[in-house]
Parts: sequence; C-alpha cells; structure tokens
Amino acid sequence: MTEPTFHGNADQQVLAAQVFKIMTGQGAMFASETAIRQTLTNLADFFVAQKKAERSTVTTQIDAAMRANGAVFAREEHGEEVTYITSKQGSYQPRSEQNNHMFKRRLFEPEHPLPIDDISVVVTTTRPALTTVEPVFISDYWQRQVGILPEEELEGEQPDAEAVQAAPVDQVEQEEAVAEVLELVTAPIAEQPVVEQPVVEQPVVEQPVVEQPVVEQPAIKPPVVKQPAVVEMPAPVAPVAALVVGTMLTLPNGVQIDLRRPASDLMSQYGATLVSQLRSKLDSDPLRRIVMFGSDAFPEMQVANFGKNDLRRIRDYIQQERQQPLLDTEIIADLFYHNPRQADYEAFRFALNYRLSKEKDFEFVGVEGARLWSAKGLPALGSKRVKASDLGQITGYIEEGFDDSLQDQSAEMIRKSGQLSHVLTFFEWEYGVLPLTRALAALLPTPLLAEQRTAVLRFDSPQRFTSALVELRYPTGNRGGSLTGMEEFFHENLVPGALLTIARTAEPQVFTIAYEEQQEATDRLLMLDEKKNKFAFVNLPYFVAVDEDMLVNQQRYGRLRNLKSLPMNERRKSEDVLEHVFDIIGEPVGTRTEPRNMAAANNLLVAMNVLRPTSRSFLEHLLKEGDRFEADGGRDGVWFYTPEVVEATQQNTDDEYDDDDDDY
Amino acid sequence: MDAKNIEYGETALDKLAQMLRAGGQPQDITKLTERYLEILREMVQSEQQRASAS
Repeated sequence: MTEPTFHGNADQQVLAAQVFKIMTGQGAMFASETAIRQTLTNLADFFVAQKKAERSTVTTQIDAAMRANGAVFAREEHGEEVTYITSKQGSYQPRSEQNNHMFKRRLFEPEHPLPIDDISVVVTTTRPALTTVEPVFISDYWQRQVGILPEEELEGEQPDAEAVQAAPVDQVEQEEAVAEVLELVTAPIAEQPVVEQPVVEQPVVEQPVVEQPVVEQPAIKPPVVKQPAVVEMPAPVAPVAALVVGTMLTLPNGVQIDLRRPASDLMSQYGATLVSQLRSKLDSDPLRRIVMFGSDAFPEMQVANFGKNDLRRIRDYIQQERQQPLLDTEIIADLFYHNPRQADYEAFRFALNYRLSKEKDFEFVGVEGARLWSAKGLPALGSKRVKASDLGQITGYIEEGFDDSLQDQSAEMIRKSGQLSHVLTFFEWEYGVLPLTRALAALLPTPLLAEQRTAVLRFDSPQRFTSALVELRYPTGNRGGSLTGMEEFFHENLVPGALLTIARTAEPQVFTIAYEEQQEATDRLLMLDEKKNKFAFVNLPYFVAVDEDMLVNQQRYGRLRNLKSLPMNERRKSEDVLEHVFDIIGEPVGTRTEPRNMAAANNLLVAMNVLRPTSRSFLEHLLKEGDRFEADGGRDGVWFYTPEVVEATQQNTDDEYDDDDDDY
Repeated sequence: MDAKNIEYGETALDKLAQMLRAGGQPQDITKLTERYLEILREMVQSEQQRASAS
C-alpha cells in the first residue's frame, strides 16, 4: 500500500496524512478498495483531545485539509453530519461489477457453442421467436446465430445498464463501463425517474460524481464518446460475416471444390473422385445408413431380409434344379413371384443381390446389367486338366507387361466395334482356354464388385447353333486372367491356327464366337495323346480358315512329336519350357562335344504355344535374358541355343530325334 | 454451414439417406453423389444468406 500525496499548506498536509493514517488504521482489515468512512465530528473529537485546542478551530482545520485533498477523501453530507470516505488505495472508487463470467452469461453465450443446423432443434416452432430481451426465452446469442435477431436490435438494447456491464472484457472496457454507469446514474435522472430513486436513497454513489468530480474522470470520459460508434457497428459487420462463410470443401484426398458451383459442373470435373470418395465413406460408415451393391445405393433400413428358408430355396434351385448360375431376375420370378411392374420390384431386387452378396454359400458371377448368382457346390466350368492356380501363373506374363495383343487392333477400336479377332494357338485349342489379354479385356465386361474373382459369360456360335458357358477369371496381382470352358467347341469345330472372331451382343453377358468357314482340308496335325502323355501327328479334316504359320502340321513342325507333355506345374517355368522347346525344334548346328541349336523365333513361338501361352514379346524377353540363347548377328529373328553338355543323356537325346511317322 | 465444417461423406448423410428412402428405389452412385453435392451446396448457401442478412 502506497501513501497518497497530500495537497494544501504544510499543516493541512500533515493533518490530512494523520487523518488518512487514522482511517486506514480503522479499516486495517478491509479490502483495499472498500470504502472507509469517518465523520467530521469523530475526527474533531480526536484532534481536540490531541491538540487541546478549540473544537470549532479544529473542525475548520480538518474540513479545510479534507477539501484540499478531495482526491483522497470523498465528502458526504447527511443533514448536519459530514462524512469523509477513503480507502486503503488512497481514494475511493465505486466498485464496478465484472459479471461476464457469471453462470448466467456462460449458459446463454458459451465461448464455443455447439453448431446447430436447424433452429427448430432449439426453439419450438409453436412459439414465436422473441425479439426483446425481457423474459429471456432464447438467448440473444442463439438468436443472433440463427439470424432471427439482427445485430442492430441487439445493439439497440445497449442503454440497459446490465447490457453495458456485460460488454467490458479488458481493463479499458471496464473503465468505459464505469464511466457509463456514472453517466447513466447522473445524466438521465430527469428522463428516467425510476432510475433516480435508488440514487436518492443511496447517495453514496451519487456524491462523488456530483460534488467532487474525480480527477481521473477526464481520462475516462473520452471512451464514453465512442458509444455512438458502437451503435454504428452493425453496418460493416454484415459484409464481413458474409465473407467469412467458407465455400471451399476439402475432400478426404485433399482435392478442394467450390460449393458455389452447380453440382453438375462439379460432377463433370471431379466426378470420378467425388463418386469414389463418397463410395468409400459409405462403405466405412459404422451406421451403414446407405449400402451399396455394384453401383446401386439404397438405405439399409429398407433392404428386405431373407430368412434361412429363403436362402436354402435359392441355393437348391441353382444347385439342383437349374445346375447353372442364374440371373437375379430369374430367381425373383421363379421363387418369389415378383412382377417387374410392382412398385417395390427394384427395391426387392436390390435386397436379393445385397443379401446374397453377404452369404458365403453364394458367389456373384455376374456383370453390370446381368447379375448372375452361383451357389456353392455347383460344378466348375471349364477343363479340369488345367488348375486355375496353374493357369493364373502361366498367364502371368500378361500382367508383367508382355502383352502384344493390341499391336494389330487398338483397344479403342475393339470397344467401338465390339469385336476382336484372334488366332487360336495349340494350347488354347487343346485346353479350351483363352488368356485374358488386353485386347480381350477391352471387349469383355469388367468386374462389378471389388472382390469379384470370376464372371460367367455365354458364348453363342451362330454358325453351329450351340452355346457354351464360359468362366471369365479376372487377373489378381501377378496372376493373369483367362477365359475357360470352350474346349468342346474348339475340338468340334476348329483347329490350332484358326482365326476367331469374338463379338459382344445386346446382352452384357452374352458373346458370339465365329470363324471363317472354308472347303474341307485335311492335314496331319499335332495332337496330344493323354493316355500316352505324348504328342503325335494325326490326319485331321477341318473346315475353317487358318493362319498357315500357326497351323501345327507335321510338314512344318514335325520335330514337335518329340516334345514332352510337361506337367502343368513345370510349364509355369517359362525359361525351362523354352530350353526344352528349343532343344526339340532347333536345328543342330554344333558338334557332339559342343552342341548348338538354331531356330527361328516364329517357329519357337508356335512351339512354345504348344506347351503354354506365350506372346511374341515375352518370347523375345526370354531369349534376350537367357544365358544360353544368342541372336544371330546376320539374320533377324534367328537364335542359337547352347544346351548344357551332359554326357550320359546326350546319346539318349540324339536318339530321340526320329522323323519317322507315328502310327498313332 | 461453413464448408470448412463439412466432412465429405459424413455431413448430411442422414438427409441423403432420407431422400433415398423417400424415393423408394435404389439409385445409381453417380446420381446419388450429384444429389449429395446439391444438399451440401444448399447448406452452405443458406448459411451465406443468414450471414448476409445479419
């Protein structure tokens, strides 16, 4: 506590200091800003006893000293009695209430209010929104948040003393509020007699203002002049608020879109991203509010349930009665008797597909536009001679990038024309398999579901009036895809080297397979005798136009009869297969001690395709990478192979070369 | 609502589901996405109007 500076002459300063000491001693236990009151009479009694002087003289001296130090001692008169007021701070300031942290305010004007989308959540719509503050039904804050109460109205309430007191936050604002209170108490007395009453009853507050203008007042007053400026605030607030509302939406992948643009514009520019992001969000929604099947979305709440009996009926119908994958529309029509004209047909169809996709006993084998379902235990389509896993690895070279199927026809052309041409190789003909090259993939439908592994297609032959169900295996990882199930059709109608045309139809899962017919021709063609597990040439008539280079006849590829029919798991090893093929089809150009074979790449390609599917680019890759292969510098497309010298087996190998006709 | 407070794929998903329920038919994801964008757009625009009115 610092002692204030006293004014007046020397005696008055001493006297004032004594009075201040007496009064602060009297209020030793008071708070620093609490008023300490003492009457002139009491002070006079004390000093008369001390100074042994005349009472009237002492009274006059005290009063003069107090008046000279009006900044320290406020003066009050109650009739005849004069009272001086000070505090331990050195002067008395009326206390200002800072109540902006009161529970009432924190309740109605929280610092971090929860967002509300709709005012109806907070306010009952049956009661009109209040525009005045009197019985507070809705806080001003919330009314301002939802735009019911404009800023002007709120500011218009400022004359309310309580509202004025609520505003100050820092010290300067607090001082403003004090000044406002003082003005409100003094100035509008004539206008507001109601406010005047407490002033008369409690002149404590009024006195210092009216009779003794506080020294600090001029410093406080200027902010009071600012009051009209506060009233004018709403004008600039509106545009600022409008600018603050952001319209840039950031997608989970970081892409920003402006929501002021029409939805169609945004879809045309960011359609793929927006769809995939929404799809992934719907899939990860823990509440599963909207569920998906393929590209269709539907609220989970409305998806019909299928009981165990329903699922058993469907499974039995597919497995035992029809014994083939069935369309969802067939299942609905045959088992549930729903008519497509019924209003809930599409919803029921969605429910069937969605529920079956969640069952382990069913597998989706359809495509977009034809939702086929297969049941567990249904016989597999295609040849059992080649396992799906072996075939996936054998055709893996396509996924490695060694696919030259688009050299003669572009993917765009295939999509546009809806058909492609293909020359059948021996392996494809023998096992009824077509590797899923990029050319074929451009024609065939893509999987509808993310986890879909296979699709069942129907291949119709308009020339033979036959059809076959074909399994389309989609590539996974480094395993290639394939079409299987055409073994019977190939063996009955075609030969290796035949030129095929595959075309799509109006139905998404139906394709046609055609070939060019010609006059009957007979040739000695390579065949695989499964019982003896060896290759042989046999006379075979055929009626189809062929690519002579790919026709595996005895005249051109006679050496292939010595080819070993390697087990499928060995055919995965493309390098070993090539060495074996080169050893068989190559022309010996070396010596017995230094054997060397020579072969043209075209012949190697045909021979390789007897044992496993191989593209030209993949063959070239194997030849270039192999240590034992060497290109002929002078002749393009001619390669040499230097086999490993094994004395014991060399004799046997030489003996195996036998160009005599087989009697098979 | 301010676009900054929008979580794409989460905000107003109930409205989207409600709209889908009202339709009674499964809807293609592309159309659904467009409708969802419209809902978000309406929310932002209404907030802008409120702000400019106040």
